[in-house]
Amino acid sequence: MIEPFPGRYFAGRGEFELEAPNLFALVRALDAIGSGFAEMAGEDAAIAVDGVMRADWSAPLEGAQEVLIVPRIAGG
Amino acid sequence: MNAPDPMSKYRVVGTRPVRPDGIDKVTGKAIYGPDFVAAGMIHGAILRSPHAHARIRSIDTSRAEALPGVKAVVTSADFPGQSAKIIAAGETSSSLRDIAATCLAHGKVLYVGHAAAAVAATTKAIAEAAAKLIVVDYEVLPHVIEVEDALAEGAPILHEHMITKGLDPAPDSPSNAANCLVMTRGDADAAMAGAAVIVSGHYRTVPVHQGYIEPHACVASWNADGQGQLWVSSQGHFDIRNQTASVLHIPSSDLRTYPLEIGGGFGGKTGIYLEPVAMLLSKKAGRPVRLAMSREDVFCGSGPAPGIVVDLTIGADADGTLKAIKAEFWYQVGAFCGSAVNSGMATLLGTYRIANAHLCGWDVVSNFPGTKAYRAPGAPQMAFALESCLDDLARKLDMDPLDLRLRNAVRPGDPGPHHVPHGAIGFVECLEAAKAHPHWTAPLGANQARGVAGAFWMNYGGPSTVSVALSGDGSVQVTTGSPDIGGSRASMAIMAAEVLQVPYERVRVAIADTASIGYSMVTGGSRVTFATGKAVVEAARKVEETLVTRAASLFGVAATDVEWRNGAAHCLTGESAGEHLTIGAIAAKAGQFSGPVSAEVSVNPLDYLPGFAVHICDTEVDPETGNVSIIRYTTVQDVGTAIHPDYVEGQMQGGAVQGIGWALNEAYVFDGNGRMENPGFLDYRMPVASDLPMIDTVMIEVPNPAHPYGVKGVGEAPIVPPLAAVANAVSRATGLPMRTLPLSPDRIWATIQAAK
Amino acid sequence: MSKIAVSTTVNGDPAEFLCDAGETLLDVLRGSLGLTGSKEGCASGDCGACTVMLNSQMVCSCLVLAVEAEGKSIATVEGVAEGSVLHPVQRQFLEHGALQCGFCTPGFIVAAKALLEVNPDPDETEIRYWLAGNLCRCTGYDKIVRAVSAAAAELRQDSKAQRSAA
Ligand code: FES
Ligand code: FES
Repeated sequence: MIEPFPGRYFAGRGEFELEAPNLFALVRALDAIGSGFAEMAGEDAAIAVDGVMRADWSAPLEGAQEVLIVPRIAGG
Repeated sequence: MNAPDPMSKYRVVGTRPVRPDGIDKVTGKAIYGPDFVAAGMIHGAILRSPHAHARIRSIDTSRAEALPGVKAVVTSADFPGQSAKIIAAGETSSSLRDIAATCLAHGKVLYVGHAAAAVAATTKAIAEAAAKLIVVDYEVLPHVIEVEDALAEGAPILHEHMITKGLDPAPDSPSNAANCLVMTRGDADAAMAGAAVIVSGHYRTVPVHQGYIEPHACVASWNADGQGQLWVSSQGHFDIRNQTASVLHIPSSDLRTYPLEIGGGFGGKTGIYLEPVAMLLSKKAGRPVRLAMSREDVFCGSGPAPGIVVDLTIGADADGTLKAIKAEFWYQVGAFCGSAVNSGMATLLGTYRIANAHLCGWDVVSNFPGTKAYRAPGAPQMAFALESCLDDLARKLDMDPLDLRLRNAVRPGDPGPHHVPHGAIGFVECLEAAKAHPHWTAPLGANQARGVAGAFWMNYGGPSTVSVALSGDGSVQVTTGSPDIGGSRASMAIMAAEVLQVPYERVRVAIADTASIGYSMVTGGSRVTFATGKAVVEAARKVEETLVTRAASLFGVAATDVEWRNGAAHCLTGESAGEHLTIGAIAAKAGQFSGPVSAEVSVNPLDYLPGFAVHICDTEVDPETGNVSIIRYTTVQDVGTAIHPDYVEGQMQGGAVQGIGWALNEAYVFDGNGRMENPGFLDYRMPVASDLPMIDTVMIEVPNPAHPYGVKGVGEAPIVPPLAAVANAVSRATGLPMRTLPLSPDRIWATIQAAK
Repeated sequence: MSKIAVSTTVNGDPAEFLCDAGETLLDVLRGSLGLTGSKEGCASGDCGACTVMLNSQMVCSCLVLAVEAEGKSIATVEGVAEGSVLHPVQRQFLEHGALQCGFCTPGFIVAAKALLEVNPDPDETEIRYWLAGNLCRCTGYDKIVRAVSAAAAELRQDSKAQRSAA
C-alpha cells in the first residue's frame, strides 16, 4: 500500500503477506494490525488487484498475486 | 453538423445531434436553481461574518424575530450536534462537523462571509432587513491567509482539535497543517547527485473561484411529520440529499430531492452550503423556503480552489531523460481541511517516467472559505510548477520542449501515479499530434512567443443507476440520476440509440429525483459519460435481449435465430424467415408477456482511464504595459471516443479558457483584515470573448477498452496544462521566469523593470 | 412603503405591475411577471445574463430600476422565437453546441440578436467585442462566436431571398 496508509495505520510498514478470500477479508485482516484502517478504507481507499482497480470487494481473490491500496482521488 | 461519418464503425456515436434539452435552454424555459418556485414559498437570507476569524460569544435574534413578516430564525444552536464522522461528500469525504460548520458557523467564524445565522420572511427584502437586525457578539481573533503565516510559530489556530495527520510521532499540539504526506520512489538524492543537469524553482498560485455564472440556490420544504423535499441546482442531488440528511440526522429517504437545471459547477456544486439551513428555516416556518446566494456570497461563501506554494527540483541526463524529482509543496486549502495533496502527488508522478522521487506535501488551513474541487482539483497548480520547470530544463538543454516531453512521456504499461500501471493511454499520440500541428511551426511576430505544456487527469468511474424503459409505441425512455451540466442527456441518448439501433430522436432522457431512480454519484470527475454511460449501454442491451427473446416466441424460433438490426428483430430461420418485427411491434405486445419492457442497471465501474492533454499557446507581451494577449491557442487531447464531438470540444475549449483566466487574471485579493477585495465579476476578472482567439481542438481517439464505446472522461484534463502553457509562452517572450500567478500586467511589468 | 404601478409592453403584450422603488427590472421580470428566462449572475452589470432590450436598447436589466420601464417596451429571451419558430440565433446555438450549462445562453441570445440587427455581417472581432459584456464560464466562447456568425449568414440569406421574391 502507499502513503498515507502505512504511516497512518501501520507505523510506516507498507507491505504485508496475507491470505484472504476477498477484499473484505483482506481489509479486516489489515484492520486487526492497524486498527481504524477498515473504517477509513471504506471512504478513502481505492484498491487495485494485479494492476486493475477493483470496485467489488466481495469478488473472490483466488489466484491474485498483488493487491495495492492507494488513496482515492477526487474530481471536479 | 449532423451527417454521420461514413467511415465510422458507429451509427450514432460520433454524430452531433441537437441536445434534447436545447430548445428549453435557448428560449428561457429551462428552470435553474434560482428559478424554481414552490407554492406558498417564502424567502430566506443569511447573515455572514464580517470577520476573518472570531469567536461567537452570543447571538441575539430577538429584534429580527420581532420584525413583521419574519417567520423563522436559525442559528447553529438549531443544528443537531455533529461528530467528526467521515462521510462521502461528492467524490471525496469530509467530516460531518466540517460539512455542518460550512453551512452555519459553530462557535467560531473562520472567514469573512462565513454564515452565522439565517432568517426566513414573507419577502426577500424583509428577510434581508431582519438578518441585519441579528446581533452577533464577536470576539475578534487574529487571522491568517498565506501558508507561510499559517505555519509560522505562534500563528492563530483555526481548529483547536486539528492535529497534523501523517507525522510520526503525532504532534502533541494543534496547528494549521491539516495533513502531511511523504512519497518516495527509488533514491532521489543519489539520482539527483548523478544528474547532468538540475533545474529548480519556487512556484506560487493563489486561490481562484470556479466562477459558474449561476449562484447557488435551493428551495426546501420540511413537514411536521419529518418528511421533506428539496429542489436543488447541483452536480449531484443524491449526494446533496445524503449530506443534508446526515447533518440533520434524518433518514435520506425522508428527504426527496429534485434536480433543477444547473448553471455550471466545475466541482463547486458537489457539496452543501444552503440546504440544511433552508430545511431548518422551513421546519420552523412551516412553509417552503428559498435560499439563494448573491455573487458576493458565492465568492465569499463558496468554492474556491486552493492556492499552492511549490519548491521543485528536477534532475536529468544530458539527453533530457528525467532522473529524479524532489518537491515540497503546500496547498492553501481555506478554512477546512481539503484533500489536494494526493492529486498533487499524482500530477508529479503520473505524467512522465521518473524512477526516483522524494515528495512531501502539506494541506494548510487558513481564514478564507474552505476550498472545493475545481475541475481536476489540485492538478493545474502542480502542473504549472512541473511544466514550467520542464521548460527551464528544455532551455538549458537547448532541446525542443515537445521532444523533451516525448522522451519522458508515460506510455501504456508504465507505472501510474500510484504504481497501478497506466492502461491504454494516448499521451505520446497527443505530443506527436501537437508536434505535427501547423501551429507548432507557425512564424511568430515581435514580442510573441510560444509555450507548450502537457498534463493528465486520472478521471473516475463510480456508482450510477439507469433505467431504460420502452413505451407501447416503441419509443425509448432513459432515466438517470446524473445532472446534465454540459450536454450529457445528448450523450446518453446517443449511446442508447446506438445499442438499440433506433433514431436518436426516439430516445428521450430524463434526470430523475431521488425517489424515482437509484443512487448516482455526482456529475463530476469526468465520470458521467463513462460510468452512467456504461449503465445506459448495459440497460439498453438488456432491453434488446428481452426484445429478441420476445420476438423469437412471436416468430416461433429460438432466440439465437433472431438478429437485432436497424431497430427491429429479424427472423433468420423457419416459416417467418426474412420477416421482421419493429421495436414498437414487440413493445406493444407487453400484455401478452411477463410485463412492460424495461431494465434498471446499477454499476460501479473503476476501469476508467486517465485523459492526457497537450496545449500550445502563443502570447504577445506588451513590454510597455506588461499586458499579455493570447493570440493563438491549440488543445490536443486523448478523448477515448467522442460520443458527441461538439460537447467534447466544448469541454476542451472551456477548460482551456478557465486555465487562461487562472494564468493571467484571476485571483482572490485579500485586504489586511482578510476580506476579499474583489468579490464581483468586475474586479475578479474572468476571460470575456474579446480576450480570446478561437480555441483550436484536436481530438485524439485512443479508446478505453473497458467501455463499450471506448469512452474516457474529458472534462478535467483540459484545465491542467493552460497555466504552464501560458506562463511558458510569457517566459519565452520576456526571457524571464514567470513563477507566480496570475501574470497580471502589473506583475509582468514589475518583473521586466526589475530585470533591467 | 406603498407600491408603484408601472405600465409597460413586454414582448409585444401590455404588462402592468406593482413594484417597490428599489426593485430592478430584472427582479420584476423574474418575480411578479414570472419570466425567469433572464438570469441573475451578478446583479451588478458585469455578466450579461440578464440582458434584455428596453425600447430597442440593449441593457442589463439588473441595472435598470423597474420604475424606469414605465411606458417603455421590453423584449426578453422569451420573446425571441416567433411562437414555436426559433430565431436563427437560437437555432445556430443549438446546431453548434454553443451552450453547455445554458445559464448564460438567454443573455447571449438577446445580445447576439441585437448585434445582427445593427450589423448584419460582423467579423469575428466585432462579434467578440459586442459580446464582451456577456460572461460564459463553460464554452470558452469559440462555439458561441461560430454560432453567431452562422446565424448572421443565415439571416443575410433570408433577407436576400425575401428581396429577390419581392
Ligand atoms: S445579472 Fe445583470 S449583468 Fe449580471
Ligand atoms: S454555457 Fe454555462 S455559462 Fe455559458
